[in-house]
Amino acid sequence: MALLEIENLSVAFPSPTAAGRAVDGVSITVAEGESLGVVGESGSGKSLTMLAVMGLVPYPGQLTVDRLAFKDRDLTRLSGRERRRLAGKSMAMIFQDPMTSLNPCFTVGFQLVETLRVHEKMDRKAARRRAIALLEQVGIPAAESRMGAFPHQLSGGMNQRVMIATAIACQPDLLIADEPTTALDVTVQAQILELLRTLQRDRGMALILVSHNMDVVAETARRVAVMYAGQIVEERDAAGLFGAPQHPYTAALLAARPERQESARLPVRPALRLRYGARVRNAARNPALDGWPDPLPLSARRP
Amino acid sequence: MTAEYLDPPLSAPSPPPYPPPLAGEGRVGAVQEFWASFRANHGAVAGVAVIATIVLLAALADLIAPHSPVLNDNAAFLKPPFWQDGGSFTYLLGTDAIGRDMLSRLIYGARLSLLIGVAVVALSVIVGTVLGLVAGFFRGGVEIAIMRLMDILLTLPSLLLAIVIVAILGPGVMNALLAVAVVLLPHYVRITHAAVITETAKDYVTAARVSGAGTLRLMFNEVLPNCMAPLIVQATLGVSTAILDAASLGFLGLGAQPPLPEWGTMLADAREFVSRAWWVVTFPGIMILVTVLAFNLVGDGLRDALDPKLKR
Repeated sequence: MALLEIENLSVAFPSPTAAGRAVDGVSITVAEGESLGVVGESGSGKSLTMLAVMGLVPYPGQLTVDRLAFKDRDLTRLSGRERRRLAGKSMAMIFQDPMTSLNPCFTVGFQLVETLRVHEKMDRKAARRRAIALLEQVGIPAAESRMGAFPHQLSGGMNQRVMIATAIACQPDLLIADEPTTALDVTVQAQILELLRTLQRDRGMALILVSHNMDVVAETARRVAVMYAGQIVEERDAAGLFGAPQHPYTAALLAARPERQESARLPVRPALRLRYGARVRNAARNPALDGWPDPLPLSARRP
Repeated sequence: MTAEYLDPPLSAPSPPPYPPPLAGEGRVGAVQEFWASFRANHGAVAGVAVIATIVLLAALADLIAPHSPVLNDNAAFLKPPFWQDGGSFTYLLGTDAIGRDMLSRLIYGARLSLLIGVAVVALSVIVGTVLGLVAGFFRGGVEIAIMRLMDILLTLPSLLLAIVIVAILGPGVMNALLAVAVVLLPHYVRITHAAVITETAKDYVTAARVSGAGTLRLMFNEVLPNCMAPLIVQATLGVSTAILDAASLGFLGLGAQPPLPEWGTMLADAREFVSRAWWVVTFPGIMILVTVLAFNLVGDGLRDALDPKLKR
């Protein structure tokens, strides 16, 4: 059974000159316990898609979607209250910058306990015990004493661990990690990814890993979707995608990785202020993208 | 001698791998740090001392004041302070035009002035914070309506606006209090609005939203605590403005009505005796000056202590 189904999701930002669609007809399905990687350059709509799934399209963005269902429940039909209950418990999300993702005014323990008390209706003592256990589970040393620490007293990696602890506190079925390692240094990156992998495996939790780092995705995700200019251009299993990319953009993206880069350059993205929907189609007419097949296949997907 | 440095005794406890943490360590540390940087500002500490004295005077007015603030002594009109010819120790700071003891009136006046200052600030901070939060959270029409209204209030000279409001409501302490609160309101709305906009852009707000926090919870539990520092400073400075504005209204006959011993009203009553009896004007003036100065000094000290960018 599909855990999360997204069909034809678009997010448009109205503007007097041209309506821009930051996310343009994205369809994604995530099965239970699956790990999906979403890659793409900055501004390709990765994060916005995930925020839209969580019901957080920033003002003045407008969301249109044919079907947005989580565990067969239509998210667009839920009331705000129901959706919030679902959001904190069954779906969780962690963000790029751990230093700003925690409220600087409260201790990490307080924030973790608060989540448990609200969503799991635990009493203070049980929540505290559970919070300490969670902190230990995400690999924070001296967890009990760290409960009283403020976010600014912890390092970025520690804060990201706390964020992950908060996210998994209510045993979610789906964890969306929006560039969870971008703000961390490389050694910590590896630890956090390992932690996410372990948690995903042990709990049978579905994981959507959003990243612009191909290597991170290659290591972590079984299936990968490549986003470009608001659309998914290619979506396949990771081995196939990295081995033999079908879409020229994927190939260009792979070729642009620092370790592979010899002479190839990532083609410049077509101008932003084109009429919506025209961007990727017009891409072939952009001289920077010479050599792309014409007409450009919008998606070279394999089920 | 050097050996001691090179070979520390084995029995010496090795430092724990992590700093020994205590529950609430952060909070206590923050208070200590705040006090350390606040204490460095001598003016602010002096301000606190002055305010404490005035608060004590106001609280213990019934015990301290030698006379009633409203009863007059028909035998002693415009008596000078005790150190001048004609003064007596019965009326230490002299009497006013109808024979009321200046010292007692000043002491009771502290009560009224502090009450006005604190009540006005409490009122406008609460209303202003809520309006600012609403404006910051509900962008679009609501924000425009609230912020433009505040802009309009700010364009009017504050005293003039207060006079207009009092003219509509009628003179009296309560109405003067309301008028001054309205005058001060835009400052708090703007500060909160600006702080809310900065804070809501941060990830922790999105994170809270993602974990299912409702709008009210976001506003008051997540964002508001992070906007408190500038509000505290502005509130302290606001007390002095409130006292000053209330005194001005009193001086114009629109604030506290006689026989209430309000400092501004006392000044107004004494206008005609300025040349004959300096003490009836000077002492209320000094009280207003000292109180306002004290609050301003404390406000400055708070700003320095709470704003990390201004720390030396």
